[in-house]
Amino acid sequence: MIVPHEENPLRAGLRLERTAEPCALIIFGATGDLTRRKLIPALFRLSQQRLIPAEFAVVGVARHTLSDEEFRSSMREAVLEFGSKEEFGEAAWNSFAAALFYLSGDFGANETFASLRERLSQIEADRATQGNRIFYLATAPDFFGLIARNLGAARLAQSDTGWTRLIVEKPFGRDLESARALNDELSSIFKEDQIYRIDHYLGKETVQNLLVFRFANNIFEPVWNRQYIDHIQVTNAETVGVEGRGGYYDKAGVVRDMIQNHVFQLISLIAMEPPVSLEAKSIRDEKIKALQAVRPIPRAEVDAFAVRGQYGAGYVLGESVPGYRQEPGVNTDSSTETLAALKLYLDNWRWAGVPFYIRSGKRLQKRVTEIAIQFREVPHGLFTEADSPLEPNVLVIRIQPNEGITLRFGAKLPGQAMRIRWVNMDFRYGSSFGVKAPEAYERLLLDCMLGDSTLYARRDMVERGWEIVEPILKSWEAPAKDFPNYEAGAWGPPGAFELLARDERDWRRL
Amino acid sequence: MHQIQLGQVLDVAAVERELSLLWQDSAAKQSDEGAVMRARVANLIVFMPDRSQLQELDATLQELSAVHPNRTLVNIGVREADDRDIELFISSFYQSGQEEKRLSCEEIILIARGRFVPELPSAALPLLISDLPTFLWWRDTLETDDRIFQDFARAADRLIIDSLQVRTARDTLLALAEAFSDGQPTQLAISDINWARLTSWRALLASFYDAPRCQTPLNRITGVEIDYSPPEHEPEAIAPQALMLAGWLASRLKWELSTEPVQPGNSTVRFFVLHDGRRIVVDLNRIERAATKPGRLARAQLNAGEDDATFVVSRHSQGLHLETQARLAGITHPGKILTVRNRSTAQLLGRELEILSHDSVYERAVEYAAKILRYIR
Repeated sequence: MIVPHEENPLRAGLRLERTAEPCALIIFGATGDLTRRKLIPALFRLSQQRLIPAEFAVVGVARHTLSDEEFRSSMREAVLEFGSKEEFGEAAWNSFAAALFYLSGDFGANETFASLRERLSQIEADRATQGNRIFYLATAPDFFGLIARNLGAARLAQSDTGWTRLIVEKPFGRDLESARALNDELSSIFKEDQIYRIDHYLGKETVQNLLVFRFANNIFEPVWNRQYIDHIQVTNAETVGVEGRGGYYDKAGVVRDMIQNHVFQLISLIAMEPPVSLEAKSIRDEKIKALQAVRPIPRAEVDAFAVRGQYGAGYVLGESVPGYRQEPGVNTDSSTETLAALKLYLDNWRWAGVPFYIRSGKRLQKRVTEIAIQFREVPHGLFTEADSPLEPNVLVIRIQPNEGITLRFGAKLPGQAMRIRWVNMDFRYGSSFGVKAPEAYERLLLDCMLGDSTLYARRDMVERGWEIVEPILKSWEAPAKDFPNYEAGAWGPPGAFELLARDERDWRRL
Repeated sequence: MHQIQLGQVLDVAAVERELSLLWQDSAAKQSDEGAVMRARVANLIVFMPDRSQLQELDATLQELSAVHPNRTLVNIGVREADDRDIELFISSFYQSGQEEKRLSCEEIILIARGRFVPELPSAALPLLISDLPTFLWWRDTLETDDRIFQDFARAADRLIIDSLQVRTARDTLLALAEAFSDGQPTQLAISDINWARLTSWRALLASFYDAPRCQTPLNRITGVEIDYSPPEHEPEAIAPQALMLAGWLASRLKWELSTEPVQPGNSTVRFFVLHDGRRIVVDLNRIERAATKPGRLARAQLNAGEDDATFVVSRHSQGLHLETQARLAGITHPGKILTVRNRSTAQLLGRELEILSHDSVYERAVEYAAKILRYIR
């Protein structure tokens, strides 16, 4: 245990951010990409910022045979490659590296977990981590259930002296049934409040700013409803292809990879009612209520609400790129969607009749993730002689890149005539705050160490996400005859544009 | 830098117009596609007694602008000089920001000499941008009853000083303590950049108190040792960092200053505090160490003699990192090493510009430091 910070007289007024409790972090899949690219660089940076205590240890578990020293050396290279070189210092690294340990073992073998238990008790004594443990499943999803079962069997799911938490990486299931099965399996070993389902989108500063933007400002909430909002567009566009993950992606597709988790998190934050407090439960309760309001799409009407696409060869950012079916690891006749455009309705008091248009895809013209709230037009066209058609106001919340908020409104062009020019009022994080925001994994790891699950996905949220997309996924199991149906570097197939055109609307030109 | 001729009365509109032209000019000179954005998130008033530090100040402001684009009003009041009316210069500069955007910032310098110095606030204050937080960075000897200081302070939300740089640290700490302890809640919150430099030290000392196993010995502290290098301007004086750290420990841990006589030494001042009837020896040691910059801490150690326990935070001999060591019942426990990032003045100042509220922990620490100063006099 640790003395609560509020009881530590010297912590008062310390303008440091929150500091984690002593703990051991056990990473399954410690030689994998995620550990190298994200987890260890994030932990090292947290350590540099004094946000994790000296009483901390990382135990990497994977199949490769490595010594502690070899693991440390490999992680040092990872931090130099993927972390901030400017902030790297040998002395600080050596201090951090002393907390890194490695255990080689098969995730399916009982001996691995018996060895882990033994190793942990030694490390916990040496590093004084007080029996607090986080198990991080940074493995392929096939191993999630297996590792959890073996942790339970080895009596590692509960600590005798501290707390135990489990972080599960996405994908969390591949459909509703498998997600429920995985949830059931994890729940038979860990309690829900021990399980942290990571969605790194929630660790992004701009996503967290959605709460501040909506609920710390009084001027937006009164118009944040069907009375004033015409529709909402959520765009998640990537320029990259499958980046060597062809094997995984071909079984997933964009709905599973992006929409069911990340995009629905954004929708829930935009659509939720004000929470009664900033407690994790209050926020998650409101978020799930928003998703529960999403109108189910009947299987027979999927085509009216959803469009799928797959990129062919084309040009992206001035370079010739292959089509999806030519990517390594992808079936040459694959029907996996690399783009999806959806129309959703939320049947509740606030959002009745307001369509939420979603598009998410790979190999699009440019990288952008944003939420655009398009307001209704003015009720009476006063400026009929204005030479410029009236346009609606749009509020754009840009998640990446150029994180910020833009409000589009009409202004009179200087001159004798009454001409209107549509201008943007911009707030850019990069313009107003030069401070570098923490990486999503830094924030999320620290939150877990602090027991704050606000930015993690709850079971009901995950399952509701699958419920919403279930009819779409079922319908899209049928081979797509027109694939590939958009060129790499375009904004998607014609059907994606028709989805809005049918409602006499257009996607924003990005 | 562009000088604006002032008439009998300051023409605020003319200054604004010139600043706009400067911004447009710098934007037009950009050959690449990056835009120059005019950003102002706060007003920063600086007062200094001469122009000797102007170059260093400009470098700090330039660095600061990347994080906190301000309108800065630099007031140079040369009191002991021939009379010369206020001269006003404007300049703008920009910092490369993210995605090829450049943030343009504005600096207005007002210089007055002799009897015109007291007129500075009346010329500078109308140039503040409305409705933005305003900070006053006082780079002169702090005399809270000084008219110019009071005029500027009334317009500011927060006063910033740097007790490492002042020539009379003792007077500054005493003046601050007086301001804090007059019983009147002051509208003006106060920051000391030198206090910000202590954050790592405070955090590491605080971390000892997080661990339950350390509680018993920490509740039975018998001695405190604080080593510091001599201040640059007053080598014989006790470094404000050492005094503030001692004041912070004492005020937070509710230690009472003992009336026992002080034991001054050549390089050590020893005094005593009481906690639950227990006597605690406090040593402030002046040490010479090349790697420790003037006026900075080198080591802070808490001793619990009865428990054979020590808790040490020290700067590594080469000054590159801080390290902790806890010894309990003779056994040394894992320590922590933190890279000392040697934050620049601009970075430290930037942190202070993020807050507007009072820092009561700092205020109590300064009050206690002043008490120590008065006691060991």
